[in-house]
Amino acid sequence: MIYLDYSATTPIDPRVTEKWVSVETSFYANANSDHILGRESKRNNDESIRIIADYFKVLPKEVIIMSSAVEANNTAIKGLAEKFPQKTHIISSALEHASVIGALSFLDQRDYEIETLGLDDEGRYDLDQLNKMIREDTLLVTLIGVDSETGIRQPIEEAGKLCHRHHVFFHSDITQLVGKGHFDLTDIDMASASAHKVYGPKGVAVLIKKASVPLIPLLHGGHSFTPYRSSTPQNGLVAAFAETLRLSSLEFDDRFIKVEKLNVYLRSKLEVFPEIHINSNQHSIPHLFNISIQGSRPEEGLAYFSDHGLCFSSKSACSGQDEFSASVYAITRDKALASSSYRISLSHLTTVEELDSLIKVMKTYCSKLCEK
Amino acid sequence: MRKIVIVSAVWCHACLTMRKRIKALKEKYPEWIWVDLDLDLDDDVVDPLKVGKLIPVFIIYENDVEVKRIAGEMSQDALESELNYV
Repeated sequence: MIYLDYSATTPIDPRVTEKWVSVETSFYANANSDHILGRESKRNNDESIRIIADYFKVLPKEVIIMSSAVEANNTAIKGLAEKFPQKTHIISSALEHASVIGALSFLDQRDYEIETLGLDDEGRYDLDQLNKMIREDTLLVTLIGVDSETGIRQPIEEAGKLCHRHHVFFHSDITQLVGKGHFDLTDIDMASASAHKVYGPKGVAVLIKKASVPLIPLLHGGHSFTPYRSSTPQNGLVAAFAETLRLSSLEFDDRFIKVEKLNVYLRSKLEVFPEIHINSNQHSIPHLFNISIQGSRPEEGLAYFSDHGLCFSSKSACSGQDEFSASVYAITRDKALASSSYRISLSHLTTVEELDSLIKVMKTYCSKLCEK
Repeated sequence: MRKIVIVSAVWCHACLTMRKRIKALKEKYPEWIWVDLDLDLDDDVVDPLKVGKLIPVFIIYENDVEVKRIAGEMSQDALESELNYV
């Protein structure tokens, strides 16, 4: 099987597994316990948190360990709403992960007003519109860092600056950005990310919350790493997360250059197919490669590709229109292209041979479509 | 007696967008019976309805007999028109 669905999740790096097992074995004591083994666990955890904080260029106390980006997104949105109940207007986008939409739906049912920011012709947030949408009662703007379908890198830093000019909180889900691009959290109040999208383990994530942002925690219990998320500290998982970020930072340039070359290669081979339209544009990170195959139905297409040993996906979230991608429509303004899109995600682990296999199967699939 | 059964999900952006439009129509047509169902939480009721993948789904009943089914994101005017034209 050829795996080209790295944006859904990634295989864990063996060096990260080694770190996880080693810490879980050596530092098994509860870091909240006031005995020598507990203190050793705490010291080890403090070092892991420092590495994570350094990666995001924030203070250690601004790192809140979570179990998933879903939990981080929910904590950021609901926790802020709980703290400021008098402000009930929130701005978001149609590109968000289901966990952001879910948290916003939860608030919408409690009479919050949720508004959707539009995209420009290149699929990026319309910041002029955002400037006009912010009101006196706007609590939060929450915008994803990278469109998980087309890979378009969104101007979250500029959006954060704009929000700060209006004294409005800004949160971003940067899960698809970590390890794939550079970012600056200076004007971002809160950011969510998970380890498993960047060759780390599933079950650990982070909410970066700037010290100046007040928040009511979702889980109440004993003190953990921070008062914002109770649970027994996950010593091994957190060390593994720190290790995955350390490796990601250390190897960023090599990994990025390799993926960029693979992207250029794949583009050069697929753009000659008359049935294929490449949707990812100049703003897309090279790791995400979105195409439409004219006349294709993604549900049938994915089954065909899977039967031929290829694993990738179509659109990533419900758009309310069957197999219709709001992201692709925003940049193409073409309903047929938006209803026939596929997401191929690349990694530094991807090989040219794997892409050649993909191209070969795709050629056969397109020929079959033409015969219909 | 007209009854509108709406099946939606919290993770669906189209459902979130439609909620405000549905609320306005609920206020405009208080004589209709409106039933909100969650695709995931109310699965025991929703599964037999076989709503498919496209949500939100609006199932219109007239005297307890299903007469029409529509789905997806649409304008408030379009939804109103669809709900009235059975």
